[in-house]
Amino acid sequence: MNKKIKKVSIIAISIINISMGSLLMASEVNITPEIDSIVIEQKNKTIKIERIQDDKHRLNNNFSKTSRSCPPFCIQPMNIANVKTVGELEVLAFLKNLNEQSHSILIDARTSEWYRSGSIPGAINLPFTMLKKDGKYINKILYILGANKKSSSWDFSNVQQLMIFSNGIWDKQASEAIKSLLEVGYPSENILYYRGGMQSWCNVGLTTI
Amino acid sequence: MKNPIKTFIILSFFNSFLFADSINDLSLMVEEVNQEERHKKERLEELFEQRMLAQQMAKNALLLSLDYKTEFYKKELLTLAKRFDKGIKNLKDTESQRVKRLHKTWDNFYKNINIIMENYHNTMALKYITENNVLLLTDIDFILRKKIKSSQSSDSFTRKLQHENFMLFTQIDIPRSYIQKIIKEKLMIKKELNIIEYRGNLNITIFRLERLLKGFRDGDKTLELKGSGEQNFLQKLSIIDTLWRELKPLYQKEVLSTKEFEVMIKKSDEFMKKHLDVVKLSNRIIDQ
Repeated sequence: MNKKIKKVSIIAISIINISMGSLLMASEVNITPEIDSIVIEQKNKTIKIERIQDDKHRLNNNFSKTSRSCPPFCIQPMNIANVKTVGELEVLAFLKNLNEQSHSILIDARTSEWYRSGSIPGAINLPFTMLKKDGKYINKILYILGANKKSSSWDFSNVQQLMIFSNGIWDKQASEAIKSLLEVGYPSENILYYRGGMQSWCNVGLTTI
Repeated sequence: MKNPIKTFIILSFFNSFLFADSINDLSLMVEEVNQEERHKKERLEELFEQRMLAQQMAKNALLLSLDYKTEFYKKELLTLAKRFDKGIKNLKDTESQRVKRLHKTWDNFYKNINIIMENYHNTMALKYITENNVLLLTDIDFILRKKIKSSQSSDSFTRKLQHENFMLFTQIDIPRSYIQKIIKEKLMIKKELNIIEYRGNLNITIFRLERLLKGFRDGDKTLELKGSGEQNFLQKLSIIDTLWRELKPLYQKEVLSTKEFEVMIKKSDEFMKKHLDVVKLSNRIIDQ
């Protein structure tokens, strides 16, 4: 009898081991337990956003660097005025909604050289330098974003929802863009700040383009 | 009564058009700005090239006066002069006194180049070229500095942000000018023209060139160069370093044998070509 129990136990343990092994083999680097990837459309292309599936992967690009001279690369505060600060999951939800309901834009506020070296899929480049209050582009940009000029002031009731990011917590290009927009009267509830920016995005191995 | 579902579909359709339009309009505007920036950069690159050409033309005239590979250097001098002339005509800032002066100097310089090409030993023409290439350089440098200043952002944060790349961009092509200058100085000494002055100049140019090369690699606070960690860039720079190690003793040697002279000219040309690769790569890295 005991022999029989022992034999069954060995078989059971073996089955568990095999299952665990295959479970480990099949383990994936998901975004959350429920989400492995999201798919977006950009310039008529379908882009799958997921994490790098190699769990031994290390960063060897610009974002593996820890120290940069400050100024200009100083650590940014968590909040800018009343603008809501968000993380990666909110960015992904925002990106998913870009396809479904529109009226939102993900803005990479870095200068174009940075943008060209890689950005978040779905983001458009609008350098913070073009958003300066007294700059020659701001009026046109506000108009494109849905603001209407009414005599000397702007009506922002129909403006787009913006999510703005730059290189990350050490880079104030996004903060500058947000401050400039607030200065011209863009409603803070229509702006979201992804403070982690490219650095956090790359740190968790999310797809870049 | 309106059908709410139909209205919603129409609105969504309309919204997605608006969205696509916004994205396109913003992207077009940014592209326009980028185009403007690229244009400014190209104008600066043209002036960097002019600076180098001014040195190279004087060097070629001197080589011709020494009857050194005359067929080759005559043909090259003609090409260099045409390139310089084209570049000068691109300088639209005719209001500036400095640009006017540059045009005037160049007109006379070009005439003397034509004289040298007819008669390699015309001492007056050679004197004019070797003396006035410095005047050409001074004016180009002045215009260049003005253009560099105007191409920088008026916003201090943006300036700081772009400063490192900007310093590299404005200095990366200088070694090519220095190589031409060094050879001109060597040739002036060889022809026993203002020996003391040119010996002094030669040592300064060698020092400056060496310092720049080190600065590109390791950084230099005074030159405001940060150095580079880019493997491709460092690899190309190491080729330049090897060439420089071979060239420096030849530049410093008082009297060169015919063979050493040949090697110096050949290796200097190689340096020019290889450093142009460094310039191109550096500009590509900056643009990214």
